Amino acid sequence: MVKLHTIQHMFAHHSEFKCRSVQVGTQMLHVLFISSLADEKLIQEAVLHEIQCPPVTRCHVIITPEVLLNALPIKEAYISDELVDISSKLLNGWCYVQFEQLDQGLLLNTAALPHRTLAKAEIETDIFGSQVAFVERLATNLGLIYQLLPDTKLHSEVIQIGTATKTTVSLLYLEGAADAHIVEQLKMRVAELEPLNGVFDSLKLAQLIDDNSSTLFPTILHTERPDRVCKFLLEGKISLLVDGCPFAIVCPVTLYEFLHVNTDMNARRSIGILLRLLRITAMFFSIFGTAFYVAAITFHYQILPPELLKTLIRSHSKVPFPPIFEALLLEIVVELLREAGVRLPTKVGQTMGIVGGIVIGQAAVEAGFVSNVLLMIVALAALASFTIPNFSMSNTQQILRFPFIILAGFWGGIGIVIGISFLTIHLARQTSIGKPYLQPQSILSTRTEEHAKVHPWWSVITRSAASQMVKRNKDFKE
Amino acid sequence: MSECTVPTRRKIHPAFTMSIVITSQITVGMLAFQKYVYKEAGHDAWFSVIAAGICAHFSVFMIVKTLSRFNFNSLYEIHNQLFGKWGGSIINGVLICYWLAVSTYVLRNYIEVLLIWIFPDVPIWVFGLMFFVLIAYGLAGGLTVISVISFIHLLLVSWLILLLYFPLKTADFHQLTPVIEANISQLFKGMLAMGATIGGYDVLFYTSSHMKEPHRIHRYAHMALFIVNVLYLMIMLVSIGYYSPKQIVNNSWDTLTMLKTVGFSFLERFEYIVIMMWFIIVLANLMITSWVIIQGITRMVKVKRKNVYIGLCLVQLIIIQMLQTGDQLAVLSNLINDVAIFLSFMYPFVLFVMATIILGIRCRRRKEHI
Repeated sequence: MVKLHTIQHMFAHHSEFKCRSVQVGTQMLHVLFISSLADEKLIQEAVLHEIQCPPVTRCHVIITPEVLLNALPIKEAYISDELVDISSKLLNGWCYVQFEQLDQGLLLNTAALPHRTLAKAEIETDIFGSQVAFVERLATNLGLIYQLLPDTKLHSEVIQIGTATKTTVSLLYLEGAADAHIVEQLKMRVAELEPLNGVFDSLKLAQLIDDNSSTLFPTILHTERPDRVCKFLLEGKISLLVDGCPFAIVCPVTLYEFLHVNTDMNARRSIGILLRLLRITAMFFSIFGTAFYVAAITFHYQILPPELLKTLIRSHSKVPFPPIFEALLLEIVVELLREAGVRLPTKVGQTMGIVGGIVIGQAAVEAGFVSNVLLMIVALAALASFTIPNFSMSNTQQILRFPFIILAGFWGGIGIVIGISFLTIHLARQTSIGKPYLQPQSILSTRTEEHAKVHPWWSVITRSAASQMVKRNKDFKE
Repeated sequence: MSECTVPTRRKIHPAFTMSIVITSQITVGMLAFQKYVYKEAGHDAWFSVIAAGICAHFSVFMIVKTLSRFNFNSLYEIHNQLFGKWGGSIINGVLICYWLAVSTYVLRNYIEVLLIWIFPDVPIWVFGLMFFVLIAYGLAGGLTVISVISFIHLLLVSWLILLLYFPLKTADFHQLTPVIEANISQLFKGMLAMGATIGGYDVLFYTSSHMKEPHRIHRYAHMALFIVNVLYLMIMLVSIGYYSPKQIVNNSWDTLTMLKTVGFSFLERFEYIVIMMWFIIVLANLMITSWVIIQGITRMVKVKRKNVYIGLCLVQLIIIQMLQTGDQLAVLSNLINDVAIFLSFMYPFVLFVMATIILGIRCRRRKEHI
């Protein structure tokens, strides 16, 4: 009797908390649940109906929790007398049957947590291949992965983090393929987060377990596609799923994996390689394009042929600003358009594209604020950066342009080269959960030591070992 | 004494020997080595290049032979083992001075190129500081990071080889005939002129202790050397065909001048781009040499690597400020060339013989004691 009061007191300010008391013979049974989290229909049919109506009450004069446990058609149920357990289960949508004379009661899984149905991948769209994306519910997401990878070697371990949110994090890896050392390290890092108040997002989780959180580059990949996660798991990578977040994170990864999409793998080999090359070229152009223009116009006009130089100078001559200022101005405008495009609702977004792209661009050139050649280069660079399949990597490249433009504006070509050197050194120093972020180190590791299959460095343009060609007979046909 | 201090986790794949050797060989030398060889051997200079390459292969063979006898320890350790603590330290000190001279010369020479072609008004120390900061950032990651950087930087500049097609279009290879007109001594002198240009592979002596399976470096070292030799030979042949005899001798930067002819409809004067791309090669090279120097000093005295590097930077900064004219540079270049001939080509043989004798004597003594 005391216990019921305690629970009721605990949930006194909870408007959705319901208590239904049932008189069975001489006994009083209380069914407690939170109506917005529990399946009310199930409680009605499988709990209340069973308690009140015959079989149970007829056979036994006194109902004990054990009797009820055996009688109720509920998939998960157990007897509990711990207050903490009961309250946390109630908050997860379970229902609790309290016996008035006893100190214990029965916990029944009647959860019907709100969730949405599966939807198409919106961020990592792919023309061919599977279209399904993760949702916010961990159980669904795990189901999607198990469906694609039905293997007992696929381990999934559950870790709870956050004192307030009690978020469930699921750590997935393929035994034998994944490096046991890295799995241990990752588990430790996630477990260390337990005292945090709350973690909702896998992206945030990635920042928290990262090797170096001060770098601009993402060293942990996040994806919304179950098929990509499975592919990574097969390669010996480890994936983390956070309950409530429709993105999985994958680690350890290398820089190149941020430039890969599934089509490269699935389409014909030659087309896949060409697409990948195109994307890499686009990446280089998007980072160095504008900087190169600024350097060439400011310092090294010798490297431009006279005819081209004439065109460039003619378009630049009306502009009252030095090239570096002009370039920065335009780049910032492009950034503004991009950010506005993300924030605006889709329908208004189109209008904004027209206003931003055509009106502002055209007007700026006609007003003599920017040269139209530079406008073209900046627009091309922006376009090129959109080909990067990973959004966080795309962000990184957008930001990287600015230091390069500034370096080019002050020191010309040498500035750009200094930037490149800094970038390569920086990337060579990065690690993703202890594994080198740039490939060469990991592929050239000694054979005996490596368990995980790693791609050769040329897989930057070609495809991974998984899709290697079958050896063919090279001889002429008869 | 021969303790191996490198933890297994930080060891590198032996294939990185290739990138390390290539980057330590090609530096500013590649931009202007033709005239020195041509002065000595005339239009048969290409033969001197081949001969020097073959000699280099022999000395790499000796280097690895010696290293394998000492369990692939670094040269500093080998000296300590052979000549005792004091004798070893003195020789190591000389070696460190040599590497310091080489790295300072490379740095100053590249700055000279920058001053001549791109930024005539910028003070030398500004360029120096740029390099020092970047090198420090790389050095902080250790040889693991440096090896990756050298590999990537090589990949980034490798496409420049294709530019040789443009001077090749206008080259006249009749200038190569008559074949082998020069006599042996001329060819030999030409070979010696290649000394500093082709030297630098002796970095093997220092890096091998950091390799995972050091016995496998042999193949990679030869592969690297072969690639560099072919590269030098190609450039030499194209230059002889492209220039007239007078031009090649009077030109101070043959490779760069040659690339002036490169022109696309959207870019010309490719020597500017080559000079800029060379920055990253010089940077990787300086990282390796600085690493070698720091290794030597920290092995002799107990100092933090960081402090050694700061000292190194100060010394280099003072020297590059002092070297103001091209003549001073030429003097230093000749000096380094002579030392490099000894250290890269002859010293491996000398060391091997000395090691055989000293170890033999020790072995006999031990037997007598027993």
